[in-house]
Amino acid sequence: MERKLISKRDIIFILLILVASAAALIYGSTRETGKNAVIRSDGDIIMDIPLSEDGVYYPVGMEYPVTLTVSGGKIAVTESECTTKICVHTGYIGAVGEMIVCLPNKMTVEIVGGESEYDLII
Amino acid sequence: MTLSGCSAEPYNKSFFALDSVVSVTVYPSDEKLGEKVYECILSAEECFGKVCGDDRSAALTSEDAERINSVLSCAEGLNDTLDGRIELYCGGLTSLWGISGDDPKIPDESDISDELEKLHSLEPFYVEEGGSGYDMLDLGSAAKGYACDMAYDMLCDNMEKGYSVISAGSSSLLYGEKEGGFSVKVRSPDTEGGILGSFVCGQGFISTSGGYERFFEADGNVYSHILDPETGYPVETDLASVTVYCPIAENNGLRSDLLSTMIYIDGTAGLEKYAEYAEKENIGIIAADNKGNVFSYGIDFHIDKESGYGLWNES
Repeated sequence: MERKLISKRDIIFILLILVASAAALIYGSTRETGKNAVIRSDGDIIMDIPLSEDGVYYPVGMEYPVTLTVSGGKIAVTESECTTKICVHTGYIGAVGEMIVCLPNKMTVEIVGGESEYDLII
Repeated sequence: MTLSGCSAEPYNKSFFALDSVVSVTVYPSDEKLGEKVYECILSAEECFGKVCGDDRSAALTSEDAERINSVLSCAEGLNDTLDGRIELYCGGLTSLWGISGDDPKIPDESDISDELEKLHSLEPFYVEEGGSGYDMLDLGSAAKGYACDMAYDMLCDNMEKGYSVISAGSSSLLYGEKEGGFSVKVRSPDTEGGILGSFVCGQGFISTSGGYERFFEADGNVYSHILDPETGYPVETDLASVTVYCPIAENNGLRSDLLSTMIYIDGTAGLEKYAEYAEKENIGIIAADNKGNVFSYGIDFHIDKESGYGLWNES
């Protein structure tokens, strides 16, 4: 019987391995971060969001509603009905110790998880 | 269980003050001292609140007046020495634009020219004990730096070993001795955030000015929170962010705060004169322009490869 060098079954098998290893890589890289964003309202913790999974969050009890977006291990206030929008202008943060402040809401978003490389982030 | 004292956690506290979040780190942990720093920052806030906050009807104590006058004279001195354009008497313009408040807006042109006329005919003055209602003062570019000076004085009297980091938003104090120095990360002025670069320094004061966080949009334009006292409009500058490091010395928190704003206002055209001054005074400057260049003077600044910025000069 004639046998091809690579059969259809081989190709499927190789593809499966590729898909599985890609999935493992992606899973591994997102799990690796292990960082969280702690959301405080006037000093009290109201949410603790893992940065390992992309998502959109709407903290409750804000005087001016805000939208938080987690993407690629970072977080940003992507929308805010507050007056100054400084929180939105800060953009994405992802390094331990970094902080977003929304003064009109008295809300802070701070990255925690492991030791900060820096004594000061400005 | 560890016996090593080095692994102990530092004391940390964050609170809202000075129109920002102030965070205090004390190592080795010392809650009493941390509380003292907290009280010190609150007393700075109380003092400055009487001239450009919600508390303008309150009379100034002799201590308040002394503090505010040292801010005014420091700004005047820097303007004279450096031909700078920092304006602390533009409170009328600031409130017209509503820039420090909740509802910034573009004022009528006639209102702006009225305020400009008032400003230009105003003789610089000092405040007095018992005085109040100094609406023409805007100490927004000085209060946080000065608060760091007050914190420094307090720590000098109360902290013998270890270190402390006090960050009041745009101005910070690094106090004491830390093995290997303090490592400082500078955020990118780009909208996506991220890192511009980092440096290591000894104790001192650090202030940042930029138009990338505090601004507002109206009629499709972007208006920065820093006003140009000559035009009455938000300053037009080709710099995106300026960071100034001043070593420990009297009033140097204040100086770092004022200088970062002065340099920002003057743009890249003024960098040479500030670099000269910085070299004489052992001051460090990092300035990022809006074309992707970073200018660094007196600081060994490590630019982040992914920042999209390039170092214009080596210092």
